Amino acid sequence: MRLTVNDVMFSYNSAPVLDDISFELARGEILSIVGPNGTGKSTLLRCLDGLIRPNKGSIFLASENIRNMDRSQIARHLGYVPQSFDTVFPLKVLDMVLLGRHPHMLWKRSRSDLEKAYAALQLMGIENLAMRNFNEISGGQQQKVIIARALAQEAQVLLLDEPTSNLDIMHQLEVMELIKRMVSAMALSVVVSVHDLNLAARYSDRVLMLHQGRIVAAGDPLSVFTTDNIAAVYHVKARVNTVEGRPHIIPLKPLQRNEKAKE
Amino acid sequence: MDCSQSYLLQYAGTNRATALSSNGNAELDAYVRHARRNTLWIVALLISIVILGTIAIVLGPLKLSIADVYATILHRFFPGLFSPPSELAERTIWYIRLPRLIMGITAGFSLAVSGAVMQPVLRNPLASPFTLGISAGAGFGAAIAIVFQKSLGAGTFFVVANAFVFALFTAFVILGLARYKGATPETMILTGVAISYLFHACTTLMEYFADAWAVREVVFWLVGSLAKATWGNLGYILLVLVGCTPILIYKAWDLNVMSIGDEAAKSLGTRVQRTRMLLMVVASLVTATTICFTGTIGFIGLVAPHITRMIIGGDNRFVVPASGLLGALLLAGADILAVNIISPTVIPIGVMTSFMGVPLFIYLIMRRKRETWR
Repeated sequence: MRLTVNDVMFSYNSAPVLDDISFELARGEILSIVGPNGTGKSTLLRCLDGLIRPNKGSIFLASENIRNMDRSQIARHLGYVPQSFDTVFPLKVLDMVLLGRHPHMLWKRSRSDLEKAYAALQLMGIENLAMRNFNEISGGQQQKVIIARALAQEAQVLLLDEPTSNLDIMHQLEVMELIKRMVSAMALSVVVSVHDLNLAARYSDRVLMLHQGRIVAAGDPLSVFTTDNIAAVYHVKARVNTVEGRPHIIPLKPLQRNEKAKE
Repeated sequence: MDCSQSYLLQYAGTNRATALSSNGNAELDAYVRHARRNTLWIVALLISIVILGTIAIVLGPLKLSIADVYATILHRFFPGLFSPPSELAERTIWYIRLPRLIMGITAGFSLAVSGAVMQPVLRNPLASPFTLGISAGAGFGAAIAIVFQKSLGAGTFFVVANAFVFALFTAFVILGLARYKGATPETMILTGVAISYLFHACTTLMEYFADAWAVREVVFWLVGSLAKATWGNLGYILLVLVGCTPILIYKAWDLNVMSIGDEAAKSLGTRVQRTRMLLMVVASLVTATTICFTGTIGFIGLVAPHITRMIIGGDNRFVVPASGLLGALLLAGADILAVNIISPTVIPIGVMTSFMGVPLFIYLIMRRKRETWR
């Protein structure tokens, strides 16, 4: 197992944001985390990256507890793509991607660091932006640059927090396809939080559905995306078809609170 | 690890072969050229400082030629080979003009480097030794020493020591509070601005009740001057600079990483809080050592890093050293004007840097094509 999460509980104050979270992530697996706003998806990803410490439970990277690893060790194994990003003093796009080489290098960047950063840009298909300033490119392009940065990091596990939220449908599909290809070619493992259920359904091997900080359903997309689960977690009446062996969710209308209570 | 490393390149390589664009690594070459151009900028700044420095020593009430200047300086190191033109020329150069020039260069370098480090560390384009109250602290320390000189004695050195102690004290109060509250950039800047107000109020109160001569002294100190340049004073500044500058330049990569935000920097393996503390302590020490001898020379620490970013971009491995050199150049240049423009009266250097720097800076802001901060 690349990543083992045992009974993680996290709270900012008294009410837990995450509770009783346990799952495993295998080599070459894409795991999606879905759930309504404020349900703890981002918090979970930040726990996995060791940015915040769970109050209870443990997270193992291979066989090592991340609590006992230092920051640069974690950074060599886990790549994290945050949901939002900003720079006050913008760097060139290639410099931005080079930051992904930071855990691997000292002051002097080697030619191979440069080549890897550039290769990551090529994989995202945006090498023509290399010399632009990061703040001069579009939101979608910025998102791709940040993903390229995580690829340049050469971590075995990528943690992506809504990596497609700023992208149009073509680029959404393109980025997800690319992640899928990278996963099979380089045996990466990916944990990705997604709002778009159909995107999650199409590209993930397994899905965790969170509701109020707890896992309500876990398993392959077909078993998780059921009309019942969607009604219980999202309060939405939906129809679920099967397209190419994957569930396809068509949201129909919001459920009234009392309708939900009846179930 | 090694096998996964080759994967990225291999995988990109196979993709590249099938990709439509066959322009190879044109962008990569452009990047390497860009880095080389930045190195050239640094060399050009060094050369400009030497040229400007020569002009600074040549100009003045006592007429000297360039040959005189170099002969006098080289005479110090190789007494047999070179001889100074006259004893007066030697004294003028060695004890007045050269120390003043080097004081200007080191002061400009220190203030600009501190600003260049503080801005990305605090992720704020307004950050400088002033914003953090370090200058206000030094001013307050100097004012105490000047106003109460008679009762406490100890002369000029007491003013310097007091300014230094209060400057560092302010820095440590801010860093201490920030550490206690989690060291966010916002906490530091707000605390710094608040403390500046407090020290300004204290200084004003003292001036209000002090003798006329003391008020005059305090005002002169606050404006900043290079007149106190002696080889002895320079020794302290150079010692601190030689010790601190390598640390700041070595940490420039972390500056790049930290400029994308604390959490992202942390996820890339930087220990953000600790690095921020280290850099702030070092930059504060550099600033305090400089301004306790020169008084509060404004503006250089804020502006030199911004001008540098407009010229060479945001990569801090170049911005930190280049800002320092640009600061040195600006301050040395301003001092040439300050000394010669209405000679023999010397305009206070702090005033001169603002007179020259503000219009230049506003001009650059107006004509810049791209945003260099947000």
